[in-house]
Amino acid sequence: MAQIDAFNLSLHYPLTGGADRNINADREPDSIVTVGRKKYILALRDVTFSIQKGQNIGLVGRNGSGKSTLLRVLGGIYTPTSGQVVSTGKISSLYGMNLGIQPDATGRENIVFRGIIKGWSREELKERIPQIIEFSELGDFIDLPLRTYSDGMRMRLLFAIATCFAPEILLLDEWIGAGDANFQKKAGKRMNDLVDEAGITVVASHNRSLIQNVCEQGIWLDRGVMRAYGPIAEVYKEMDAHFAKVDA
Amino acid sequence: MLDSQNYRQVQVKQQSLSGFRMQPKAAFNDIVQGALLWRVWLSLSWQEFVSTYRRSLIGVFWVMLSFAAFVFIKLTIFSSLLGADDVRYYDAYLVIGFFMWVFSQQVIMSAPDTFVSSSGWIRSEALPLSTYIYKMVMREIYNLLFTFVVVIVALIYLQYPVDIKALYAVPAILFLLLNAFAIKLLLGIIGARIRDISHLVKAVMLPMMFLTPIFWMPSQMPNLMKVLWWNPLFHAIEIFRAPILDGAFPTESWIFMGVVFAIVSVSGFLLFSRLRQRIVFWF
Repeated sequence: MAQIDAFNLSLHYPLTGGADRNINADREPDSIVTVGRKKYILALRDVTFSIQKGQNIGLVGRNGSGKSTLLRVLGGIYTPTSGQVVSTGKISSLYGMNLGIQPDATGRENIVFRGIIKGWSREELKERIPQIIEFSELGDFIDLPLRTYSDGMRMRLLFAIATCFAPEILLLDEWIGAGDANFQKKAGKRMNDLVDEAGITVVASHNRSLIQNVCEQGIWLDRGVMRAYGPIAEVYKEMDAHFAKVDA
Repeated sequence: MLDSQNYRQVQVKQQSLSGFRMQPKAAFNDIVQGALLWRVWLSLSWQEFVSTYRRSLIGVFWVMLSFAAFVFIKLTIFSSLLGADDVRYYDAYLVIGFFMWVFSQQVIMSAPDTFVSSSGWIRSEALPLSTYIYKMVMREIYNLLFTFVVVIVALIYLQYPVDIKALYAVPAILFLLLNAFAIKLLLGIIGARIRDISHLVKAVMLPMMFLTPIFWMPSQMPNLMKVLWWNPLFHAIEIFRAPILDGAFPTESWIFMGVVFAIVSVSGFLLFSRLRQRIVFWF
């Protein structure tokens, strides 16, 4: 029974490694705050929502609006500065194609690493590896090192691993851009299956047709503020109206 | 752990912005939970170790070969150069000391990269951060085991008489591995935040090779040793070397290393208690 509740989430992303010196906080009063001598990006501001089982959420918004940050908070990677997330359900997440892999290891070995991290037993691994290979359509490429893969192949493999054990909560960040049309369709179907089984998926993407195909609900983030949460068509309508005004 | 990782109530606690909010309990939990994920760090560390040599002909045996070549050259050059009284004793001294030096040097030089080198995993998996420290320590252990074969071969070749008291070296190496964990925790955090540390440590370790009695013996330079006695690397090597070489238990060095461990582990733990949740933002 999946559920995600976020209460007043705020996240101050610390600027380090020289980035803090190169930015003038006064010129970006909307996004940067200075606390003491440290500078922070206001990545999320007071975000509150409740996602119920069986919902497919599309996270939309422009670059730097906080979509990836929110996904990482939901996945337990980032700790918010204030507020909290309460979630129930097995979480599986995919934040990027170059993270959480060993490029020098083969596809098969990478399945094993990620399986072990997810806590699969030896038997479960044995059972799932063929399923993953089949879904990812990699064939003999599965025994080549991951660094030899194209973006699309890598994506297919990672998506197959992330979704193969029917997670209750699936968090995906800009994942589908690399897959071809055929695979996108297959992936969309798998996500829908997951939601049909009372799961939750949250997908962040700029690909509007993808989001509209897969998600019924949407969350619009703008500079860390949640501007809209509701049926995806309405969320897009509000967003378009806003930017039409701003950009004009 | 795995259960709670997969099926959990994420209760994300408030993280303070600039105040000194210590979370020693969470930090301790992280270290314990990380240890329980032994399947993760064992498989990742082994794969990384092997992949360093993956496309080479003799593979991981390069570890042994390069160490053996170094030892061989050092033995031929230094044992005649220094004119030690007892050549066999000196040779054994050099082999064991150099073995421990290579280990200590690797532990310290790679420590600032502990978290940085795993940043891809840290940014994508909600695992305890200590997992990556265990992984790094495991890699040191693989190197240790491979090079130790050379030490054994050399001691047999030298026909060096080894006492049963040499077994004091076993607790010594275990204790040094514990030290390695503490050093990687402390320097790993500092090195992730301040990237100069990695370069600084490498710059410092180079001259330390000559300031640590490996090629020369403390008895040869008594005046210098009065100062260099404070070099922790000397004691780290001594607690392992003395039992094998002299069948002795170097109490003084053990105490010294105990103090070093206390300082490093406590400061590392305190930093970890405070900054654990911040590290992910530093990459």
